[in-house]
Amino acid sequence: MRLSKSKLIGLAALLVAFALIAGTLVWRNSRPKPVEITSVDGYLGGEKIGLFDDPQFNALAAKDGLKVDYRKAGSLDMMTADRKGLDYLFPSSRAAVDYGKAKGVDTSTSDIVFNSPIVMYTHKAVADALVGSGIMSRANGVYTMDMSKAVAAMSANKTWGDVGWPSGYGQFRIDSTDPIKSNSGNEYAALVAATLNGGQPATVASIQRDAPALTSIFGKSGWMETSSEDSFNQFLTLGVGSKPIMVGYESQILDLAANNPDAWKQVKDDIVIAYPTPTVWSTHVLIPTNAKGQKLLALLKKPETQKLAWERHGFRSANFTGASSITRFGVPGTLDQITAVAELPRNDAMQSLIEVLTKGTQQ
Amino acid sequence: MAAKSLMKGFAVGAVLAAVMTLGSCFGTTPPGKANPAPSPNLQTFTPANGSSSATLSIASGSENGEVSNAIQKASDESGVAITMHYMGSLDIMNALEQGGSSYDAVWPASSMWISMGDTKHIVKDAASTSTTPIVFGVAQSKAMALGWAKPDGSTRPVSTSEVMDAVKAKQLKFSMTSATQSNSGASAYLAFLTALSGKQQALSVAELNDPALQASAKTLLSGVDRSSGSSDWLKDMVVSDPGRVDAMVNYESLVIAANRQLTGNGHDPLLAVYPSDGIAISDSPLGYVDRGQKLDGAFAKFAKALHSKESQKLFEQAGRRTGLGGTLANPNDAGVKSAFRADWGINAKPDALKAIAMPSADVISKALDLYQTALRKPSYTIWVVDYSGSMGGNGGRDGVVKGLNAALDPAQAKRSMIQPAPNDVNVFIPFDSSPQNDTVAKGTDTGAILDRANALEAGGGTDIYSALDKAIRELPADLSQYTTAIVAMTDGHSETGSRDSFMSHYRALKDKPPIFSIMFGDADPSQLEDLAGTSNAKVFDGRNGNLASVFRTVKGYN
Repeated sequence: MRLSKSKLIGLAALLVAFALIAGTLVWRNSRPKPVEITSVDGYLGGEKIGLFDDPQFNALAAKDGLKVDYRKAGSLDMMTADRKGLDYLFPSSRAAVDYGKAKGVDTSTSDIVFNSPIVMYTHKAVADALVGSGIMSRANGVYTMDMSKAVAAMSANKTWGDVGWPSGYGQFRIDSTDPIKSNSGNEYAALVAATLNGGQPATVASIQRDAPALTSIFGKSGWMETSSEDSFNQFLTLGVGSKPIMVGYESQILDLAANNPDAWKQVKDDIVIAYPTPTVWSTHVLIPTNAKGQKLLALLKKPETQKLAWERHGFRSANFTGASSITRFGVPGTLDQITAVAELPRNDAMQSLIEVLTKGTQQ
Repeated sequence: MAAKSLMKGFAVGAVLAAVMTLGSCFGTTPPGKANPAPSPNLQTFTPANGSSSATLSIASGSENGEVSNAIQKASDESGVAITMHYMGSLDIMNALEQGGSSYDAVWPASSMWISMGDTKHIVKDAASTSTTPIVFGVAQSKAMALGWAKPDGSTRPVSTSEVMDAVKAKQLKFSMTSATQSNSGASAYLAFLTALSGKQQALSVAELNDPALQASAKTLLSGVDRSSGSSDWLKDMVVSDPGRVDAMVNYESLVIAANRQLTGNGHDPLLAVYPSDGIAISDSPLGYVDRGQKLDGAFAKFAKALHSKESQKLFEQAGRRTGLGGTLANPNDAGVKSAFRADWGINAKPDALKAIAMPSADVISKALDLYQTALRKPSYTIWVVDYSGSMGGNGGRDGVVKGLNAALDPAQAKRSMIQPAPNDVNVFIPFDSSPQNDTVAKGTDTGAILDRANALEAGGGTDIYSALDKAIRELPADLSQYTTAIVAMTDGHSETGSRDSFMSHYRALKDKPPIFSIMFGDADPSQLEDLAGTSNAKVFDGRNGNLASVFRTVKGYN
């Protein structure tokens, strides 16, 4: 049979197309195979965003074939939020993990990744005034806050003038994030509850007994942010009149000094970090919800990630110390070793505390 | 949470707002220039070099129109084009609750609205762009007469109860945005309550329920002579009729903007007065909205450029503070000095800002509810509505019925926090070639107006002026008891035979109410702009959108 001219052209075109496809396949197979990149997404406490946004961290992740994404959420809030399609939860305390467990979150593969102590951020004028009235002390350049005196002053509805700082507006208060939703506020609430219980970890009974005092102390703050990152930023932005003292993590000021030298320069002569005595540890625990989350956990536990997290973002390792002295950050008044530490209450007491404070906001 | 469900209903749906403004999105903008917005709710910015890598659509408070220089600069530097959708802070919260609508970023006046709205955890990297306190801008002569200012323009701190006393003694009236529609009004109102409670701590529900506090707040708010749904428009209104207003409550940055216009036109400035016992501060956060649209890279570039030293200087030149702790980062810059002028009463020192502790979300929502239903000054609104023949064919009549229901039906209006209160008055005057009888509804039962609006058929010609003439004859004898407004809705070109007599009657009024208008169908913009110009009001464009949402918005202005 004879092929017509047009059919010949058609056949030739087909052959060329085959050749192109075959050639492409051969060429493709001859190239080195790229690392398969897995995206991992989950709920992240806001104070760790600086780390997760850090290009150096992202480079370490890429080496392990991970692209790390996140959604900002409060440590307690994330335990009851919709987890569909998410690979991890990364709250900031063991209490939050226990709370999650009680709410049905599988925490069996969770592990401690970082630690950071709860601290108070304030301004020089306020700190020095409180040293004058004995609520704070200063030794070797380190400010500490006597929790029992601070709680007593708040329970007695002392004004800022009463505690030595007449320029303050209204009653002496310590602002925190919402203790019902966010970890730093929640741990601070546990610390206040322990202080009201004579320094012993709070119990369901002591919390019920001290409910009016707890409600009154947290009632002084009114509006509370749900993220420690937002509250720290507002502390910096709004100034001493709005937020005279704010609860936060030690890592936050270290992160600011390391990553935002311009902002640090503006505030370093005024901002004071004060360690409460006692304080509580904020323990950053990663809860993987699947195999992808477990890969992220492995990445976070690697020595080079731990070193990066300390040197660039101020997170202490699982054993409560940094890989090098804290003086590397150039933040005055910081401590390498923290000795006065209170225990967090058991989960039933923590739940009771959340209940009391939830009721308190509705009065 | 009780707060959540209450707050959900705020103001006009952001989705509708977006749809309404879509029609004006497609104009071409010269490179490197901000488009002077065919719609006042929309403004586009393209990078100076003409090519943009991406476009970010930002839901923003109206006050950010004042920092367009900084936005343009950041767009130039980052190569990212920006579309600003201006709306109330409360609409922004609504949009977040609905999953972010079609926005790539949010930029409300206060973090509060992000915190309350971001129930789906979609906002990332929110950071304050600048701060500005909410202050009283008091006419210079008035501030001197009250003993609040010296001849050099400097002012002394004034307590909220002193303001209340001046109101009580009929020595002071002031204009302020609606607390349920705009952040500046909400923040000022919460600061008033906190200060008047005398407790110097965050307001609680128990204090809010205290009849004595409610009585004080009511007295203070009785000094409100004009309301508004937007902070920026409040400023425009004050500037376009200098001498009428004793004072406005607004952002310090908008007092500065007003003064530049006032003094530029040869008028006296407003002097900034800082309440000594409680002030609210706007922190203007910009945050990315992650809807999976992968514009986070473009957002990061734009946000970085907006936080650059050069951009921050432009913010300060526009009257915002960008230093940490409420300070100025560029106090010695000539442009910044020309904004923060001591002879305008401006005190750039952060210790002038006696910030209140903001109440908790529950208290905020209860306080706003109380504002709308009990504490605000009653409103007297006359609805002058076109029922001419053309309204039957173009969907106008049905739109009007829906619109009146959206604004006046207590249950529907409550969702937008514009519901009628016991002392409010609404008057309905339908018209065609002449006005028909009026229907008056006092208090929360607006059924008579809604039933009549629903029963009327469209027919006849269009003469808006004779209807307005009737409206001003319906005004109460003592206007001081109300914030008063006329809302005129029309779809056509009006006959003009009665225009001149109406205008002369209007000009002869001692207290001249604003005549807001809603433009629909073939309405003549020049006739409505003329009414708005004469009465220092505003034209709302209902031609592209849904009339229900426009009626709701207009109600938010009174």
